[in-house]
This record gives sequence, C-alpha cells and structure tokens, in this order.
Amino acid sequence: MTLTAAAICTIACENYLPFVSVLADSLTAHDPELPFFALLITEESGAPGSNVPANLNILRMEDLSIAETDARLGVYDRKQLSASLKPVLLKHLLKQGYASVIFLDPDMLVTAGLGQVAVTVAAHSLTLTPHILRPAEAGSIPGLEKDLLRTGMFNAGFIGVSSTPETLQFLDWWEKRLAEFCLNQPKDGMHYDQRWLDHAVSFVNDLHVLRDPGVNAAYWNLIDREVVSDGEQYLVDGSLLKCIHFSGFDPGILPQATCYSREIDITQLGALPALFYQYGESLTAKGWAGRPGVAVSNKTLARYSEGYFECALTSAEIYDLGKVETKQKGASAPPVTGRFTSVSTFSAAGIRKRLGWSDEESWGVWSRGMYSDLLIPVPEALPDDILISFLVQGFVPRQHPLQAVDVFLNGDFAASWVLNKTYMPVLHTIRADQEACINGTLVVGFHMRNPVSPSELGISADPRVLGIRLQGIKVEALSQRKNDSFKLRLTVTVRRVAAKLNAWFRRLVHSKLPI
Amino acid sequence: MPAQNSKYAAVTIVSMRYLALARVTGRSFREHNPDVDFFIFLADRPVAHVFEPADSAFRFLNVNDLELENAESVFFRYQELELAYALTPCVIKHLLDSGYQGVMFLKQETLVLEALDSVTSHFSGSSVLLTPHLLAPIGRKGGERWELNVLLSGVFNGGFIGFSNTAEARGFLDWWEQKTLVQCFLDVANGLHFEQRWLDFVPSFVQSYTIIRDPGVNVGHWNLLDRNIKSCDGKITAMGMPCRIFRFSGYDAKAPGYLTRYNKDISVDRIGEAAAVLRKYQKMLRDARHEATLRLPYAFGYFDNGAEITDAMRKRYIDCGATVSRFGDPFETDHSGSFYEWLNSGSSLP
Repeated sequence: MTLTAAAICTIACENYLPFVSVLADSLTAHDPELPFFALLITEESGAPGSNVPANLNILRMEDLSIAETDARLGVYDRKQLSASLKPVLLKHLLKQGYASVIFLDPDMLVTAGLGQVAVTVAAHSLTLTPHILRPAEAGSIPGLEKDLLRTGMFNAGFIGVSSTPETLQFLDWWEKRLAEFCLNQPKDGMHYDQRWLDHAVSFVNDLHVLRDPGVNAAYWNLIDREVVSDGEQYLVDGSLLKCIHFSGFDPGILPQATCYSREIDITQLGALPALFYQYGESLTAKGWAGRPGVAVSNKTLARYSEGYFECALTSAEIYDLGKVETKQKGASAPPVTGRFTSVSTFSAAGIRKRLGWSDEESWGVWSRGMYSDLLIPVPEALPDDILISFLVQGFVPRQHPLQAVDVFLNGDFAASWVLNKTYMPVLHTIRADQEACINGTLVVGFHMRNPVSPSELGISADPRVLGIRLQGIKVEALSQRKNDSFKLRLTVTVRRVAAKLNAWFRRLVHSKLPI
Repeated sequence: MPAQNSKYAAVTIVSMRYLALARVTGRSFREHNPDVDFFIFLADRPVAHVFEPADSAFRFLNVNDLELENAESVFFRYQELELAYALTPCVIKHLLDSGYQGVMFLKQETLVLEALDSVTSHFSGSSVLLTPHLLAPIGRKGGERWELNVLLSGVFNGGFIGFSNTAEARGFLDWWEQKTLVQCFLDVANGLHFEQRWLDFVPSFVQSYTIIRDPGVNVGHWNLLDRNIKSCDGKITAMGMPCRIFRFSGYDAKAPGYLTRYNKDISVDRIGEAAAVLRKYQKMLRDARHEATLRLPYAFGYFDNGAEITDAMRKRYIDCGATVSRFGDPFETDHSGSFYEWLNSGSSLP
C-alpha cells in the first residue's frame, strides 16, 4: 500500500448486502485498482457468509473496536446505527494508511472512473456534496428547499476525507455527537448523521464543496438537471455522471424513483430510466427481496447476549420521553432525604410513575411493556451530585433467567443492568450530576431489552409483558453518602456480630433440647 | 439617490422606534470607517421631527425607495422585527443597484470597534461574505445542545453579511428575497429562523464566498463565552485579535443587567471584561436618545383608522393566501370589501 492510496468504503446492515454487492461490482468495473471496504452490521459475529462477494473487504464491528456495551447498540435502529458509524470507519481507514477515503452510501452506483474525484478529495481536508447546486426550479419537488433546511445542506451519502489533523479533529467531534445524537429529529436540529455536517462550513477551514453535478446525483437534484446518454455514458448538465445515488430505491415501485416521494417518476429524469431498470435487475440478481416495512426498519436494535432484539419503541420516542418536562406543579418537598421511599408513598413524595407500569401491589409495582419511566422532583440548586438507588428485581422465572435493562437519565444513557435470580431485591444505584437536576425534574427511563409475559412462558394466564419489579427508591446527596459511610460500616459490623451471636445462641439452645 | 462617495457601503435596517440603535451602529461604524457611506434604512414610515442634526452623517432610505410588488401586503403580514429582517435582501440589492461595489449589512444592535478594511478586502474575489456562529465545536459539557441550537437557527449569523456586485451575488439575493418576502418567520421546527436559515444555502449555490473566521468579527451572546474578551488600554480583543464588531443581539434597555433577552445566563457579572463593551454601548444608546425614540409608533402596526393590528389579524391575513389581493391595500379601512371589513364581518376563510 502506498501512502498516496485512496480507498472507498460503505456501511450496511446485512439485509442491504445486495446493494453493497452491486456497488462493489460497479466500482470494480470502472476502478478495479481502488480498494473497497464494507462495514457489515450483522446479527451474529464471526466469519462472513458464503454470499459475500470476493471483490470487497468485509469489516465487522469488532474490527473497529466498538464495544458490545456501546450505548448506541441498544438505542439505535439499523439506519441510525449504520449512519453513526461513518466517522468511525473513515478514521479506521485513514489510520490504516490511506491518504484519502471516500464514503459512499450502499445505494450508490459508480458509472464512471472516480480517479479524478479521489484526487480532489486527497487535496482537501473534507469534501462534501450539496444536495442541490442552484435554487429549485418551478417543476421541482414541492417544498424541497424547506425540506433541506430540516435535513441538511450536504448529502451524507458522499463524504471525502484526507489524512490531515483538521480532518481527524472533525471526525472525532462528529463521532462523539453521533454516538448519542444520530436521531431523525429535524425539529430539534437532527437528521441522522447529516444535519451535523452543516457545521463543517464553520469547523473545517479546508472544506471543499464539490459542485460536480455528476457526483452524488440523486432524485432531489436530477429532477432539475439535464441528463443525456450515448448508450454507455451519461452526461448530467454536461458533466460525466460518476456516481448516482439511488436513495429510497425499490424495484417494486418503479417507475416511481424513490419511496420517499410519490411525485417523482423516472421518466422525468431524462435519459436515466434505463439505468434505473438495470439497477433494479442487478439488485434482484443479488438477492434483494424488497424493502422491509417502515415498522421493521425503525425499531431499535438491542444487543443482548448473542443476537439483537427488536424493541417496540423507536429511538425518537425514547428521546422524547427522556426530555425533561417542565417542572411539575404542586410537587411536594423534593425527596433528597436519603431515606427509602416505597412505591406506595411515591405520590406523597412527588414521584410520578409516568409510563409503562402495572397497577400497584402491596410490595411495589411491576413494569409493563418495553419502556417505563419515573419522574423524580429534585431541588434546582443542588450543592452536590445525587445518587438514586432502586430496589428492584427482574422478572426472571426458570424459563427466562435473565432480564437486561438500560437505564436512561433525562434521555441520556446512564447504566445497563442485568438482573438474574435473587431472592431479595437488589439495590442498584445511578448517579445524577448537578447539571442533570437543573430543570427540577429527573426522568429515569427503564428500557427493557427482553421483557416477557407469564402467559408467553406458559406460567400463568397473565398477559402483562413484565420486566422489572420495583419496590422503592432512595435519593441522596453524594456528600450525604460519604458522611453515612462510617455509620453504615458500623451498622454492618454490629449486625454481623449480632448474627454470629444469634447463631451461636441457637446452636446452644438446640443442643440442649431433648431429641 | 445622491451620488456615492465610496466604493463600498454599509447599511442597517430599523423601524422608527429603534432609530437610536441604528444611530449607535452608524456612529461607531463611521468613527472607525469614515470613508464608507453608511445608510439607515427605515422599515417604517419616517417621522420627521425626531431627526437630529447629527443624523446628517448618515444617509436615509425608507420603504418608499424600494420598488416592491404588493408592498402593502408585505408590510401588513409581518411584525415589526420580522419586516426589518425580511427586507434585508431587497435593501442590499437596492444599494448594489445604485453602484456600490460591495455592501455590508449590519443588524441594528451592533457596535463597531475597529476599522473593517480586513473585511472589505474580501469583496474583490468574493460574492458573499459570511460569519459563522461558531468557529469550533463546543467542548463544554452539554455543548451539543448549543450546537443543535445553532443548527436550528442557522450556521451563519445574519447580523453581519457582505455582498459584492457580481451576477452570482445578485442571483442569490433574488432567490433570498423571494423567500424572505413570504416566509420570514420564527418556526425552527420547520426549518425557519426569520431570514437567517436561508443563508445556509450560500455554500451550495454560490461558488465564490468567503467565511470570515476572524474571532473579532461578529462577537455576540452565542459565542461570547468562547471568545475570551479582554479589555486593555481601551482596546477590546477577542482571542487576542482586535474585536471589530460586537453584536448586542436581543439587548433590552429595560434589563440592563443582561446582555440579551435570549439567554438569561449571560448577566453582566458573568461576562468578564466584555462588561466594559456593554457599558460603552449603554452610554452610546443613552446619548442616541434610545428612551425617547422607543416611544415612537410603528406605522405598519395600525390600520389607517388608528386601530391596532394584532398578530391574530396578521395570521388570518397570511392564512388567506393568494386571495388577499381582493382586499386591496390591507391597511385601508374605508373602501368596501376591505380586509378590515372582512375581519369584522366574522366570515370564514375565503
């Protein structure tokens, strides 16, 4: 490998492998010397299956040293997870020694040599392609410009980086943001990885805005561009088409160009219809069976032991739930008392069981469904961080020995618990810093990874999907805990001594009883 | 339009009631850039008696100088501040039309502290000059919230921009004007932040633009805490560079203890040496008779019979869409079929 070498890469979940194969073939046809890497997100680790083509280098999550415990694994759906790993993959390849790396979405097709583009990419820290290069014309997609304000100026399907300190800094920042905020939440300024790229104009001095209409051509700009063909090559507004982005493509809905807009028919795209049909055939030949329903692709992937579980809530919903509500009115004295509050006295203490709980029982309450949360009032000006302890057990009958729970604090990942069979409830503690308490209410969300109902397990007819049973909570200031630790140790010692005395006394009594 | 005295021009836009803000912007600008014509554009109907002899240092323009189509309809649909923002592209175009090679727009609550030659030097070779809200990621805890805020309000700050007289710049201004004359609202969830978010399209549409990364240009509440403002011998610096343009976006004279009404965290005692700039600004505002001008009425806030126009009425007018043309001038109340008459008839939307 020479230092001036360039590489191409993509990221896809296993169900997108046909797209990756078609992209790999098109790249091999035009640029056989460019190495192509695909990060595959699969349900099982280990050797790639037999259906992986030979002309691409497969990387796994393990190769990028992403820990299994990485919080995003439990929160992101397929699309979010793949998008959030772009900076990780780009950095990985730059570290391998490639002087420049181009990321292409898996639904891209290379239609001419990318050599010149790679040279441009190598000459700048960061190269991005705007969605559109001029104002939308009258016949364009209605409301396109306003949509772009919500989703991002640059299309994240093409990202070119070279190995400069500035690039690495930008990728580090991007990776950090995407680890938590790769959400589709335009009203909050997020659209997967893409909206964050709008900051590149501010953060990257040597940003190159690539204005070649033949690179990252897609329905949103092709509709305003003139496309002609000589049968082999395509010219877009006079420029050679080098890579086309089949965003939202589905052979089953042709001649509709994309699943994202019913209005765009491929016959509106100049000489391109033949290429769309050809692309559809290549995909089918590689085994593409069709797009999964939205309901499936939006579900959260939760990694638990070997495989992934799909969660009923989308991550957008989890994010919304985690947002701190405005301060509850009429909440009584904040419960940073250090004393245990049982579930039955929650309402007196101002603690609200908001979502996902069964009816209260004498000992406490069962969670119900995939997600449950508590709203806990806290004083706004805390002198210290606080500790919140939960007295919990999992729903872990013999047939279902483990219950995994992710705990979120104001929507931020706080802890992962794996609850197994214990005879007594266990105290699990999370720490909330002062900043988290600023709004006066803490939202503690429990995201069950594998809840199950007794009826499913054949234990009883109870249809409730159970995860954890909560008996109560304790909220204390960190300083309080430190002061108490001496007292605590003393109490423990006294109890141990008492227990030993007790046992000794019993043995004594028993031994004297007549048999 | 009187003959131009300079190659470049600078302009700010205010309604009459904020005339004192424009005076401070203009005076501080002229003090350090005496060779550049400074314009005050009144997004209002001028009230003659408030002008002072000192105002002759500026050139005044008002809404009658623009050739707007359906001007009354534009004036009616917007609130006071929205209208001032919405007219930005038209005003810049007007000045380019009158022969200036480059036009700097400064939003009304600006204090200029240095000469801006380093900025105007970019006019040769660049169609558009922009200043980003941020120059680097925010490393502080919770920095992502600020960065998201910037994404929602626009990567570039609309309070200081420059356009040179090129076909490309004019093309962008034409498009921007089309947008702001109908959609200059605050609705961040739907991608709108007055006129500002449309500027995010500059790198897409314009080939030759310059992003001014001088930390001393366009300092405001959104970046103040990262700019390390120092005051030394009366000179203000930002990250060691001369502080050239300081923006008091959202400054409220009724709450002098805060830099801006948009962020109550930034009180005078928490901004360090930037407090010196705030004091200077406050003094200049007093000298410019801010309190007196604040009492002036806003011409487009009333029907011609003196009845006040409320936001609800504006909303009804906007909801009518293209059918408003049948009402004629919406401010007029005495012709039959007027908007006023329709409002009071309680009819549903046409």
